[in-house]
Amino acid sequence: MSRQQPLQEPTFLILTALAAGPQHGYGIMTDVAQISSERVRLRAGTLYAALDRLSGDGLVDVDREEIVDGRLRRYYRLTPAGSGRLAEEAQRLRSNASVAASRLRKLGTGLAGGTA
Amino acid sequence: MHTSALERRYRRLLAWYPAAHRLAYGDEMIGVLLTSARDGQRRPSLPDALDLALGGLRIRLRPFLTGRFGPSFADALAVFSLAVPAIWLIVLGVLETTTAYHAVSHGETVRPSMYLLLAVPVLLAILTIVPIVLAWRGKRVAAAVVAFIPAALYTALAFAPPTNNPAAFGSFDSLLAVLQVVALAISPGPRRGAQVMTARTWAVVGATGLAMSVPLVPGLVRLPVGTGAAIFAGVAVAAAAGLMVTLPAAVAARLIGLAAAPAYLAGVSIATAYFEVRNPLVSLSYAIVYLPALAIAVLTGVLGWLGTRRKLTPAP
Repeated sequence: MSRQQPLQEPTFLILTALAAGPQHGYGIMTDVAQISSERVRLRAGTLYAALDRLSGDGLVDVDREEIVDGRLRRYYRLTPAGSGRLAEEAQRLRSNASVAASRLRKLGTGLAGGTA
Repeated sequence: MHTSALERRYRRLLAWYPAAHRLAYGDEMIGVLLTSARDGQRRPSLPDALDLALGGLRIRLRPFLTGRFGPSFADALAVFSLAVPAIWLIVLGVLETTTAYHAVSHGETVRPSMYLLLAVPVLLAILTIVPIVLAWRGKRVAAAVVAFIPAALYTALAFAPPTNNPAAFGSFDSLLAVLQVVALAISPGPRRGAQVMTARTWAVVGATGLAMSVPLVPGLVRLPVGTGAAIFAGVAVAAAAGLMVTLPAAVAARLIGLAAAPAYLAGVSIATAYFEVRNPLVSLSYAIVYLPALAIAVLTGVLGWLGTRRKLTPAP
Protein backbone atom coordinates (compact mmCIF):
# COMPACT_ATOMS: atom_id res chain seq x y z
CA MET A 1 0.00 0.00 0.00
CA SER A 2 1.39 3.40 -0.95
CA ARG A 3 1.77 6.14 1.65
CA GLN A 4 -1.37 8.08 2.43
CA GLN A 5 -2.47 11.47 3.65
CA PRO A 6 -2.09 11.93 7.42
CA LEU A 7 -5.32 11.25 9.32
CA GLN A 8 -7.11 14.22 10.80
CA GLU A 9 -7.08 14.22 14.56
CA PRO A 10 -10.79 13.41 15.10
CA THR A 11 -10.48 10.49 12.67
CA PHE A 12 -7.33 9.28 14.40
CA LEU A 13 -9.08 9.47 17.77
CA ILE A 14 -12.17 7.62 16.52
CA LEU A 15 -10.00 4.78 15.19
CA THR A 16 -8.07 4.78 18.47
CA ALA A 17 -11.33 4.55 20.43
CA LEU A 18 -12.40 1.57 18.33
CA ALA A 19 -9.01 -0.10 18.80
CA ALA A 20 -10.17 -0.90 22.35
CA GLY A 21 -13.07 -2.93 20.93
CA PRO A 22 -16.47 -2.34 19.32
CA GLN A 23 -18.30 0.77 20.59
CA HIS A 24 -21.52 2.61 19.84
CA GLY A 25 -21.68 6.26 18.79
CA TYR A 26 -22.09 7.76 22.24
CA GLY A 27 -19.37 5.45 23.58
CA ILE A 28 -16.97 6.70 20.90
CA MET A 29 -17.76 10.31 21.79
CA THR A 30 -17.02 9.86 25.47
CA ASP A 31 -13.95 7.74 24.77
CA VAL A 32 -12.51 10.30 22.36
CA ALA A 33 -13.01 13.04 24.95
CA GLN A 34 -11.19 10.91 27.51
CA ILE A 35 -8.29 9.91 25.22
CA SER A 36 -7.72 13.54 24.26
CA SER A 37 -8.02 14.74 27.87
CA GLU A 38 -11.30 16.51 26.98
CA ARG A 39 -9.55 18.56 24.28
CA VAL A 40 -11.45 17.02 21.37
CA ARG A 41 -15.20 16.89 21.92
CA LEU A 42 -16.92 15.24 18.99
CA ARG A 43 -20.50 16.13 18.27
CA ALA A 44 -23.01 13.93 16.51
CA GLY A 45 -22.72 15.64 13.11
CA THR A 46 -18.93 15.35 12.98
CA LEU A 47 -18.93 11.83 14.39
CA TYR A 48 -21.43 10.40 11.93
CA ALA A 49 -19.91 12.19 8.94
CA ALA A 50 -16.60 10.56 9.96
CA LEU A 51 -18.14 7.12 10.59
CA ASP A 52 -19.87 7.24 7.22
CA ARG A 53 -16.61 8.13 5.47
CA LEU A 54 -14.62 5.52 7.40
CA SER A 55 -17.23 2.86 6.54
CA GLY A 56 -17.07 3.90 2.90
CA ASP A 57 -13.28 3.58 2.96
CA GLY A 58 -13.57 0.15 4.60
CA LEU A 59 -11.73 1.19 7.78
CA VAL A 60 -14.65 0.57 10.17
CA ASP A 61 -17.59 -1.74 9.96
CA VAL A 62 -20.82 -2.34 11.85
CA ASP A 63 -20.22 -4.93 14.57
CA ARG A 64 -23.79 -5.42 15.80
CA GLU A 65 -27.04 -3.60 16.49
CA GLU A 66 -29.02 -3.47 19.70
CA ILE A 67 -32.26 -1.84 20.71
CA VAL A 68 -31.84 -0.01 24.02
CA ASP A 69 -34.88 1.85 25.47
CA GLY A 70 -36.57 1.56 22.09
CA ARG A 71 -33.62 3.19 20.31
CA LEU A 72 -31.26 1.72 17.78
CA ARG A 73 -27.73 1.38 19.07
CA ARG A 74 -25.17 0.36 16.50
CA TYR A 75 -21.73 -0.85 17.49
CA TYR A 76 -18.77 -0.17 15.22
CA ARG A 77 -15.46 -2.01 15.04
CA LEU A 78 -12.14 -1.57 13.29
CA THR A 79 -11.65 -3.65 10.17
CA PRO A 80 -8.21 -5.15 9.49
CA ALA A 81 -7.67 -2.29 7.02
CA GLY A 82 -8.67 0.15 9.78
CA SER A 83 -6.17 -1.23 12.29
CA GLY A 84 -3.51 -1.23 9.57
CA ARG A 85 -4.20 2.41 8.80
CA LEU A 86 -4.15 3.34 12.49
CA ALA A 87 -0.86 1.47 13.01
CA GLU A 88 0.65 3.29 10.03
CA GLU A 89 -0.49 6.65 11.40
CA ALA A 90 0.74 5.86 14.92
CA GLN A 91 4.13 4.94 13.46
CA ARG A 92 4.24 8.20 11.50
CA LEU A 93 3.39 10.28 14.58
CA ARG A 94 5.87 8.32 16.68
CA SER A 95 8.72 8.89 14.26
CA ASN A 96 7.90 12.60 13.94
CA ALA A 97 7.72 12.92 17.71
CA SER A 98 11.02 11.12 18.23
CA VAL A 99 12.81 13.37 15.75
CA ALA A 100 11.32 16.42 17.47
CA ALA A 101 12.31 15.11 20.90
CA SER A 102 15.88 14.31 19.92
CA ARG A 103 16.38 17.72 18.28
CA LEU A 104 14.89 19.46 21.29
CA ARG A 105 17.34 17.58 23.50
CA LYS A 106 20.23 18.89 21.36
CA LEU A 107 18.73 22.36 21.37
CA GLY A 108 18.37 22.09 25.14
CA THR A 109 22.12 21.29 25.61
CA GLY A 110 23.11 23.93 23.08
CA LEU A 111 21.08 26.62 24.79
CA ALA A 112 21.66 25.49 28.35
CA GLY A 113 21.00 28.43 30.65
CA GLY A 114 20.39 30.89 27.79
CA THR A 115 17.07 32.61 27.21
CA ALA A 116 16.06 35.32 24.78
CA MET B 1 -42.83 15.74 26.71
CA HIS B 2 -39.62 17.80 26.76
CA THR B 3 -37.78 14.96 25.11
CA SER B 4 -40.22 14.73 22.25
CA ALA B 5 -40.03 18.47 21.53
CA LEU B 6 -36.23 18.21 21.54
CA GLU B 7 -36.32 15.13 19.37
CA ARG B 8 -38.61 16.85 16.88
CA ARG B 9 -36.21 19.77 16.65
CA TYR B 10 -33.22 17.52 16.19
CA ARG B 11 -35.06 15.61 13.47
CA ARG B 12 -35.73 18.88 11.69
CA LEU B 13 -31.99 19.61 11.73
CA LEU B 14 -31.33 16.25 10.08
CA ALA B 15 -32.85 17.78 6.94
CA TRP B 16 -29.28 19.00 6.27
CA TYR B 17 -28.39 15.40 5.45
CA PRO B 18 -29.12 13.51 2.25
CA ALA B 19 -32.08 11.15 2.58
CA ALA B 20 -29.86 8.07 2.24
CA HIS B 21 -27.73 9.23 5.18
CA ARG B 22 -30.83 9.96 7.28
CA LEU B 23 -32.12 6.50 6.54
CA ALA B 24 -28.82 4.86 7.50
CA TYR B 25 -27.91 6.95 10.57
CA GLY B 26 -30.88 9.18 11.46
CA ASP B 27 -32.29 7.17 14.38
CA GLU B 28 -28.85 6.46 15.71
CA MET B 29 -27.86 10.14 15.57
CA ILE B 30 -31.07 11.14 17.35
CA GLY B 31 -30.24 8.56 20.02
CA VAL B 32 -26.75 10.01 20.52
CA LEU B 33 -28.02 13.60 20.52
CA LEU B 34 -30.70 12.83 23.10
CA THR B 35 -28.25 10.88 25.26
CA SER B 36 -25.87 13.84 25.29
CA ALA B 37 -28.68 16.33 26.01
CA ARG B 38 -28.95 17.94 29.45
CA ASP B 39 -31.93 17.13 31.65
CA GLY B 40 -34.90 19.26 30.66
CA GLN B 41 -33.19 20.56 27.53
CA ARG B 42 -35.86 21.60 25.03
CA ARG B 43 -33.85 23.07 22.19
CA PRO B 44 -30.75 21.93 20.35
CA SER B 45 -27.71 23.89 21.49
CA LEU B 46 -26.21 26.24 18.92
CA PRO B 47 -22.92 24.28 18.65
CA ASP B 48 -24.88 21.05 18.07
CA ALA B 49 -27.08 22.71 15.45
CA LEU B 50 -24.03 24.12 13.65
CA ASP B 51 -22.24 20.79 13.85
CA LEU B 52 -25.25 19.00 12.34
CA ALA B 53 -25.47 21.54 9.53
CA LEU B 54 -21.74 21.29 8.81
CA GLY B 55 -21.83 17.49 8.99
CA GLY B 56 -24.71 17.45 6.49
CA LEU B 57 -22.98 19.86 4.12
CA ARG B 58 -19.77 17.87 4.37
CA ILE B 59 -21.59 14.71 3.35
CA ARG B 60 -23.41 16.46 0.53
CA LEU B 61 -20.14 17.92 -0.76
CA ARG B 62 -18.19 14.69 -0.39
CA PRO B 63 -19.07 13.31 -3.84
CA PHE B 64 -17.54 16.42 -5.38
CA LEU B 65 -14.45 16.33 -3.20
CA THR B 66 -13.80 12.66 -3.84
CA GLY B 67 -15.12 12.50 -7.39
CA ARG B 68 -17.33 9.64 -6.22
CA PHE B 69 -20.77 10.73 -7.38
CA GLY B 70 -23.83 8.71 -6.74
CA PRO B 71 -24.56 6.79 -9.93
CA SER B 72 -27.84 8.68 -10.41
CA PHE B 73 -26.21 12.12 -10.34
CA ALA B 74 -23.45 11.01 -12.70
CA ASP B 75 -26.05 9.58 -15.08
CA ALA B 76 -28.17 12.73 -14.85
CA LEU B 77 -25.13 14.82 -15.85
CA ALA B 78 -24.39 12.37 -18.66
CA VAL B 79 -27.95 12.66 -20.02
CA PHE B 80 -27.77 16.44 -19.56
CA SER B 81 -24.59 16.57 -21.69
CA LEU B 82 -26.50 15.06 -24.60
CA ALA B 83 -30.16 16.06 -24.18
CA VAL B 84 -29.74 19.79 -23.48
CA PRO B 85 -27.54 20.45 -26.55
CA ALA B 86 -30.05 18.43 -28.61
CA ILE B 87 -32.92 20.68 -27.47
CA TRP B 88 -30.77 23.75 -28.03
CA LEU B 89 -29.85 22.64 -31.58
CA ILE B 90 -33.51 22.01 -32.43
CA VAL B 91 -34.50 25.48 -31.15
CA LEU B 92 -31.60 27.05 -33.03
CA GLY B 93 -32.49 25.19 -36.23
CA VAL B 94 -36.21 26.03 -36.09
CA LEU B 95 -35.50 29.64 -35.23
CA GLU B 96 -33.01 30.15 -38.06
CA THR B 97 -35.16 28.42 -40.65
CA THR B 98 -38.30 30.31 -39.72
CA THR B 99 -36.47 33.65 -39.45
CA ALA B 100 -35.00 33.18 -42.94
CA TYR B 101 -38.41 32.11 -44.26
CA HIS B 102 -40.09 35.07 -42.57
CA ALA B 103 -37.56 37.50 -44.08
CA VAL B 104 -37.85 36.06 -47.56
CA SER B 105 -41.65 35.81 -47.50
CA HIS B 106 -41.87 39.45 -46.37
CA GLY B 107 -39.90 40.46 -49.45
CA GLU B 108 -36.76 41.59 -47.62
CA THR B 109 -33.81 42.06 -49.93
CA VAL B 110 -31.00 39.62 -49.24
CA ARG B 111 -28.01 41.67 -48.16
CA PRO B 112 -24.47 40.38 -47.51
CA SER B 113 -24.84 41.34 -43.82
CA MET B 114 -27.60 38.74 -43.53
CA TYR B 115 -25.12 36.00 -44.36
CA LEU B 116 -22.89 37.28 -41.60
CA LEU B 117 -25.83 37.11 -39.18
CA LEU B 118 -26.49 33.55 -40.31
CA ALA B 119 -22.88 32.64 -39.58
CA VAL B 120 -23.34 33.29 -35.85
CA PRO B 121 -25.90 30.51 -35.21
CA VAL B 122 -23.92 28.16 -37.41
CA LEU B 123 -20.82 28.86 -35.34
CA LEU B 124 -22.84 28.33 -32.13
CA ALA B 125 -24.12 25.02 -33.49
CA ILE B 126 -20.56 23.92 -34.28
CA LEU B 127 -19.43 24.92 -30.78
CA THR B 128 -22.29 22.80 -29.43
CA ILE B 129 -21.67 19.71 -31.55
CA VAL B 130 -17.86 19.55 -31.44
CA PRO B 131 -17.59 19.09 -27.64
CA ILE B 132 -20.12 16.25 -27.76
CA VAL B 133 -18.17 14.48 -30.49
CA LEU B 134 -14.93 14.97 -28.56
CA ALA B 135 -16.47 13.69 -25.31
CA TRP B 136 -18.02 10.77 -27.19
CA ARG B 137 -14.51 9.79 -28.28
CA GLY B 138 -13.31 10.01 -24.68
CA LYS B 139 -11.50 13.35 -25.01
CA ARG B 140 -13.03 14.83 -21.90
CA VAL B 141 -10.62 17.71 -21.39
CA ALA B 142 -10.76 18.86 -25.02
CA ALA B 143 -14.57 18.64 -24.92
CA ALA B 144 -14.77 20.80 -21.79
CA VAL B 145 -12.32 23.33 -23.25
CA VAL B 146 -14.32 23.78 -26.48
CA ALA B 147 -17.62 23.90 -24.56
CA PHE B 148 -16.07 26.60 -22.39
CA ILE B 149 -15.97 29.05 -25.34
CA PRO B 150 -19.78 29.56 -25.65
CA ALA B 151 -20.08 29.35 -21.84
CA ALA B 152 -17.62 32.22 -21.43
CA LEU B 153 -19.36 34.18 -24.19
CA TYR B 154 -22.85 33.83 -22.69
CA THR B 155 -21.60 34.50 -19.19
CA ALA B 156 -19.90 37.67 -20.40
CA LEU B 157 -23.21 38.68 -22.01
CA ALA B 158 -25.10 37.92 -18.81
CA PHE B 159 -22.70 40.10 -16.86
CA ALA B 160 -22.77 42.91 -19.41
CA PRO B 161 -24.74 45.97 -18.26
CA PRO B 162 -28.35 45.38 -19.34
CA THR B 163 -28.68 48.62 -21.32
CA ASN B 164 -30.81 47.54 -24.25
CA ASN B 165 -31.03 44.01 -22.90
CA PRO B 166 -34.09 44.30 -20.65
CA ALA B 167 -34.75 40.57 -20.47
CA ALA B 168 -31.18 39.82 -19.41
CA PHE B 169 -30.89 37.30 -22.20
CA GLY B 170 -27.70 35.48 -21.58
CA SER B 171 -28.36 34.41 -18.01
CA PHE B 172 -30.12 31.14 -18.84
CA ASP B 173 -27.88 30.42 -21.84
CA SER B 174 -24.92 31.13 -19.61
CA LEU B 175 -26.11 28.77 -16.90
CA LEU B 176 -26.93 25.99 -19.38
CA ALA B 177 -23.58 26.38 -21.10
CA VAL B 178 -21.65 26.39 -17.82
CA LEU B 179 -23.57 23.29 -16.69
CA GLN B 180 -22.67 21.69 -20.01
CA VAL B 181 -18.97 22.32 -19.38
CA VAL B 182 -19.37 20.80 -15.91
CA ALA B 183 -21.28 17.79 -17.31
CA LEU B 184 -18.63 17.16 -19.95
CA ALA B 185 -15.77 17.61 -17.50
CA ILE B 186 -16.92 15.49 -14.59
CA SER B 187 -19.58 13.04 -15.79
CA PRO B 188 -19.24 9.79 -17.74
CA GLY B 189 -20.32 11.91 -20.74
CA PRO B 190 -22.70 11.74 -23.69
CA ARG B 191 -21.89 8.13 -24.60
CA ARG B 192 -23.21 7.06 -21.19
CA GLY B 193 -26.09 9.51 -21.62
CA ALA B 194 -27.11 7.72 -24.81
CA GLN B 195 -27.11 4.40 -22.94
CA VAL B 196 -29.39 5.77 -20.23
CA MET B 197 -31.80 7.47 -22.65
CA THR B 198 -34.43 5.37 -24.33
CA ALA B 199 -36.12 6.01 -27.67
CA ARG B 200 -39.01 7.49 -25.70
CA THR B 201 -36.63 9.89 -23.91
CA TRP B 202 -35.44 11.03 -27.34
CA ALA B 203 -39.06 11.60 -28.31
CA VAL B 204 -39.51 13.79 -25.20
CA VAL B 205 -36.32 15.71 -26.05
CA GLY B 206 -37.39 16.25 -29.66
CA ALA B 207 -40.90 17.34 -28.72
CA THR B 208 -39.50 19.69 -26.05
CA GLY B 209 -37.16 21.32 -28.54
CA LEU B 210 -39.91 21.86 -31.09
CA ALA B 211 -42.40 23.13 -28.50
CA MET B 212 -39.87 25.56 -27.01
CA SER B 213 -39.26 27.04 -30.42
CA VAL B 214 -42.92 28.03 -30.72
CA PRO B 215 -42.85 31.23 -28.60
CA LEU B 216 -39.70 32.30 -30.46
CA VAL B 217 -40.86 31.85 -34.04
CA PRO B 218 -41.14 35.21 -35.89
CA GLY B 219 -44.73 36.05 -36.65
CA LEU B 220 -45.87 34.39 -33.44
CA VAL B 221 -44.02 36.81 -31.16
CA ARG B 222 -46.95 39.24 -31.13
CA LEU B 223 -48.59 36.99 -28.58
CA PRO B 224 -50.19 38.75 -25.62
CA VAL B 225 -47.78 39.48 -22.77
CA GLY B 226 -47.07 36.38 -20.77
CA THR B 227 -48.53 33.93 -23.25
CA GLY B 228 -45.09 32.96 -24.48
CA ALA B 229 -44.02 32.32 -20.91
CA ALA B 230 -47.18 30.31 -20.24
CA ILE B 231 -46.44 28.13 -23.27
CA PHE B 232 -42.87 27.76 -22.10
CA ALA B 233 -43.94 26.81 -18.56
CA GLY B 234 -46.35 24.22 -19.96
CA VAL B 235 -43.60 22.75 -22.13
CA ALA B 236 -41.21 22.64 -19.17
CA VAL B 237 -43.75 20.79 -17.01
CA ALA B 238 -44.56 18.37 -19.83
CA ALA B 239 -40.84 17.78 -20.44
CA ALA B 240 -40.28 17.09 -16.73
CA ALA B 241 -43.18 14.64 -16.72
CA GLY B 242 -41.82 13.00 -19.88
CA LEU B 243 -38.41 12.56 -18.29
CA MET B 244 -39.95 11.06 -15.14
CA VAL B 245 -41.77 8.52 -17.26
CA THR B 246 -38.95 7.60 -19.63
CA LEU B 247 -35.89 7.64 -17.36
CA PRO B 248 -35.10 5.92 -14.03
CA ALA B 249 -36.84 8.09 -11.39
CA ALA B 250 -33.63 8.99 -9.50
CA VAL B 251 -31.87 10.08 -12.71
CA ALA B 252 -34.92 12.05 -13.91
CA ALA B 253 -35.27 13.83 -10.54
CA ARG B 254 -31.62 14.93 -10.59
CA LEU B 255 -31.85 15.97 -14.23
CA ILE B 256 -34.88 18.12 -13.47
CA GLY B 257 -32.98 19.60 -10.54
CA LEU B 258 -30.09 20.50 -12.86
CA ALA B 259 -32.38 22.09 -15.44
CA ALA B 260 -34.68 23.89 -12.98
CA ALA B 261 -32.72 27.12 -12.53
CA PRO B 262 -31.91 27.69 -16.24
CA ALA B 263 -35.49 26.78 -17.19
CA TYR B 264 -36.86 29.30 -14.70
CA LEU B 265 -34.55 32.00 -16.06
CA ALA B 266 -35.54 31.18 -19.63
CA GLY B 267 -39.22 31.50 -18.63
CA VAL B 268 -38.57 34.89 -17.03
CA SER B 269 -36.64 35.99 -20.12
CA ILE B 270 -39.53 35.08 -22.40
CA ALA B 271 -42.14 36.58 -20.07
CA THR B 272 -40.33 39.89 -19.90
CA ALA B 273 -39.14 40.00 -23.52
CA TYR B 274 -42.36 41.81 -24.34
CA PHE B 275 -41.58 44.71 -22.05
CA GLU B 276 -39.35 47.38 -23.42
CA VAL B 277 -38.48 48.59 -19.94
CA ARG B 278 -36.41 46.79 -17.37
CA ASN B 279 -38.53 44.53 -15.27
CA PRO B 280 -37.85 44.11 -11.53
CA LEU B 281 -38.59 40.39 -11.87
CA VAL B 282 -35.53 40.05 -14.08
CA SER B 283 -33.16 41.83 -11.72
CA LEU B 284 -34.51 39.80 -8.82
CA SER B 285 -34.19 36.49 -10.69
CA TYR B 286 -30.74 37.50 -11.76
CA ALA B 287 -29.65 38.12 -8.17
CA ILE B 288 -31.36 35.25 -6.37
CA VAL B 289 -31.40 32.52 -9.03
CA TYR B 290 -28.77 33.14 -11.67
CA LEU B 291 -25.80 34.24 -9.58
CA PRO B 292 -26.12 31.58 -6.84
CA ALA B 293 -26.86 28.84 -9.41
CA LEU B 294 -23.84 29.92 -11.45
CA ALA B 295 -21.65 29.90 -8.34
CA ILE B 296 -22.87 26.41 -7.38
CA ALA B 297 -22.34 25.12 -10.93
CA VAL B 298 -18.79 26.49 -11.08
CA LEU B 299 -17.98 25.16 -7.60
CA THR B 300 -19.39 21.74 -8.52
CA GLY B 301 -17.28 21.71 -11.65
CA VAL B 302 -14.06 22.74 -9.94
CA LEU B 303 -14.45 20.43 -6.94
CA GLY B 304 -15.64 17.57 -9.13
CA TRP B 305 -12.72 18.06 -11.47
CA LEU B 306 -10.23 18.07 -8.60
CA GLY B 307 -12.01 15.02 -7.20
CA THR B 308 -11.93 13.00 -10.40
CA ARG B 309 -8.32 13.96 -10.97
CA ARG B 310 -7.48 12.79 -7.48
CA LYS B 311 -9.30 9.55 -8.18
CA LEU B 312 -7.51 9.01 -11.47
CA THR B 313 -4.04 9.95 -10.23
CA PRO B 314 -2.36 7.18 -8.24
CA ALA B 315 -1.61 8.15 -4.64
CA PRO B 316 1.91 9.66 -4.34
